[in-house]
Amino acid sequence: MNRRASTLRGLALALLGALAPLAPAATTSPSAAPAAATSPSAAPAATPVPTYASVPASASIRAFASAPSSAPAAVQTDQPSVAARLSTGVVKLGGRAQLEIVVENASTARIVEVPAADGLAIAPFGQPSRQQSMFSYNGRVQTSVRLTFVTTVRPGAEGEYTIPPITLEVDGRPLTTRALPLKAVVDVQGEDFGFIEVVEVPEVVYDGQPFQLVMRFGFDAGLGVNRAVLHLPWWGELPGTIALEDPPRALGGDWIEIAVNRTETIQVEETGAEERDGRPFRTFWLRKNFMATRPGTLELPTSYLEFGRTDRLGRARETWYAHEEPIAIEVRALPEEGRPYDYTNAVGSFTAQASVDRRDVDVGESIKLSVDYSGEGNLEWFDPPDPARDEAFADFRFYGRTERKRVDSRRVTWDLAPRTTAVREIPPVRLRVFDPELGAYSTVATEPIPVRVRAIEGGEGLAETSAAEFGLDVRDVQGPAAVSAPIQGPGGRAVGLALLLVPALWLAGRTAVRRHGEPDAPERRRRRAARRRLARGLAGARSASEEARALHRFLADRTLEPEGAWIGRDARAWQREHAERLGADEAAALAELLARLDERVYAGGDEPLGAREVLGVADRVCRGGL
Amino acid sequence: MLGKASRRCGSVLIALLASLVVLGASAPPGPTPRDETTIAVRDAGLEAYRAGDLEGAATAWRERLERGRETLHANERARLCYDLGNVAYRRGDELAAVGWYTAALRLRPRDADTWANLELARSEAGLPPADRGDLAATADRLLFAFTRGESEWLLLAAVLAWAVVLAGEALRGGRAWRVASLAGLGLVLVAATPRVAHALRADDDPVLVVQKDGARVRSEPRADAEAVSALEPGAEAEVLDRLPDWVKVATPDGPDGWVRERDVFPLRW
Repeated sequence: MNRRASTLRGLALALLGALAPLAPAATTSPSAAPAAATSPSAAPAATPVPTYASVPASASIRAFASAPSSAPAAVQTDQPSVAARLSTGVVKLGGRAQLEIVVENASTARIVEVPAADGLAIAPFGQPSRQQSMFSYNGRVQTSVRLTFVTTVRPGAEGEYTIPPITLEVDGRPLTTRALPLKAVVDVQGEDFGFIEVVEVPEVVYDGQPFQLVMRFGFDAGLGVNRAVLHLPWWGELPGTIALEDPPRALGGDWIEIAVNRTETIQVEETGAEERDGRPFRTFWLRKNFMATRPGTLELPTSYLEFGRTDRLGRARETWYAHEEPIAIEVRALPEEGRPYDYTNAVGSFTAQASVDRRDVDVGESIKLSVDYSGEGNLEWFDPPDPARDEAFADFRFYGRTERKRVDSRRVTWDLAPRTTAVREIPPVRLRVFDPELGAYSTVATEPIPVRVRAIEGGEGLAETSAAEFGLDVRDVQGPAAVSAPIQGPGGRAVGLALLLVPALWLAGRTAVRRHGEPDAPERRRRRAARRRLARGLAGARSASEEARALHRFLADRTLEPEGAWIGRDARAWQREHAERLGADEAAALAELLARLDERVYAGGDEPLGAREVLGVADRVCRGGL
Repeated sequence: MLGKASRRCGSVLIALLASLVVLGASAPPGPTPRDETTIAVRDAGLEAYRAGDLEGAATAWRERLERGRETLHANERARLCYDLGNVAYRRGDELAAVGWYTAALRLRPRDADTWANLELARSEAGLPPADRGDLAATADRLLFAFTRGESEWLLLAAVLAWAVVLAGEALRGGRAWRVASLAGLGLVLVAATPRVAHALRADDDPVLVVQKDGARVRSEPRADAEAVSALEPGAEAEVLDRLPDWVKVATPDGPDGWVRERDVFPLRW
């Protein structure tokens, strides 16, 4: 009896235990031997206890079912514990492993610190998931709480890594996970099935110099790849650079969307099939513009292409990875030697073209001098030159400057005025440029522009006034020639009259029209639409019978009868009965037309008569009052 | 028969609409000042300004403006106000410049140079921008973006468009035409707002406070009268009455009262 009762009780407890995700035997506890986790009160046990990561769920039930007969201290559920595990110990280069930290028997837990691991990118942990369960042990109901933190780990290169111990604060006490090994191996198959390579990037650039990075990637066209993601750690965040506007898309190319870093999608150009190792590959191009902003070395970490297939339900089937090795770009500082005193940070190769709005002015009159800069370089970033500080412009007074950026050029406009009649030309505007090709400074200057400056009556030149600071001044005065007479209105009376007349006329007209019925009534709409419908029917008619059908429908619409009413009808006889609705001449014309159509239908090979003729008669009968 | 009647009514309506158009086009325009020859060969004020004689330029332009109140067209008066604003700015009197530019914008509301100079002068005078950029300021600017003549043409065009739609509703009827008629009415109401705004403003006589320390509003036109409120520099007020050296104003929030004439700048030229 005792043995049976004992067995029955054990079975009942086992059943209760199976209802809750228990693994008391699989988790280490302070009183058991430490294995997968550590806790402050851990004590070595006489027998080793299996680690959390290695015990399958079913084993937990077996272990628990045997609990009554095992040592009473084998399971203690009131002490918190932590355990860490990886979803896989080996990951393909470019792939990720899932790192899971489980906290048992704690009400609160938080991750204090995730140590940095060289070569490993550990994503931030989110909020933990919480699972609570109840079970009975030795006749007492116990509550167990499990908190699970999940994140992903991605190795940066091939090799062996160690995920360092991670410290947590569990119910106010620090607990630490164990270190976990992870191995990253090159996806040999992926490198064969796909590729990603940087085909164009400068090895050396100068501080402030824009440059373009061109990348190609692709995969075997025969694999049926329907999923691809680019993992570009430098995308959107390359320290030491500014990302510039993307180059304009070429017209006529095939563009597709692809995800980058799983955070955004971009457009890349597909350039058609390319043969590699005797197999056709789908290839794509990606271009990105940057501008270096400080001297040093720009590091572009390893780039990956993840590609594979998904089934119809969207589940990933095969996944492969291809990678491109890290790239370094040297950014050199602009040389101090030979730098002009009026250098304004222009880097590149530019041309400058000057123009003015007028060339024949009085002393002091405003001239708008515009210089268009174009070329390759940091066109929109350099400061424009300051002609006011150029001795060549000593005979000019400057009033202000405006700028406008165009698609491929930049226009800077200065507002200046000649001080004296001695001015014969607008001098060249000089821009100091650092040319990366030459590795030296050069000057881009506009051509001088001849002008004629006349004296003001009674004056010789501009008086010296305390003009406002260059660049922050009021716009110049306006002469009488600058204004034209304003538009004269029609007058309040005309407008008032219109406002009164229009609704009055509308009311009057509306009343008059509705005296003969509602124009929107179905019958009237049908009559109005008859001509339009006839024209449409005749346009598509290919035979006399189709023309006749259209004409019969038209007549029925006009007389508000059923569609077949005019088939075989004698128009003249009808007119005699309805003389007020149709004139005799019009009825005769209609009758003749109907007869000719019948003749063609039944004896003439069904040749069409012609839309023009039918419409002509139709219009005539409409005018006749039908 | 139905068709004939409809055609007759349509013809009558079209004839009446056409006469409306002709009426609008040939109606005598609003009061037009007799235009002087505004494009003078040489502008004495401009010459003085270029020569650096600000006083001479101000005198010449001011005289021309005073003489031409009834004879010069609005754009020319606006131009003179604008140029006088530049003179005031050059003299360092930013508040007076604000006054002149504001007066110029009342006459020529869309001139970009005037707006630019006004904002600069206001900034230099420590005043907030004239165009605050909020909804009210934008609506106000839109409302007065048209001159009186332009607003009349705008309204007339809207009425004509409405007339066309009403004609369609009268002749054809139906829900679509009715909806279009209502939309046309809405268009007329919207188009009428600038003209109504001008009508409401026609008798305005606003002034701008140009005293750097602001203007005290007194209960009587006496220097020793009790000060009932104060107006900040750059504030606008409506003139109710005038006496030698004194102007009675209605303040936006506060009792009406008298301010010294020299403390305010008239905005109506």
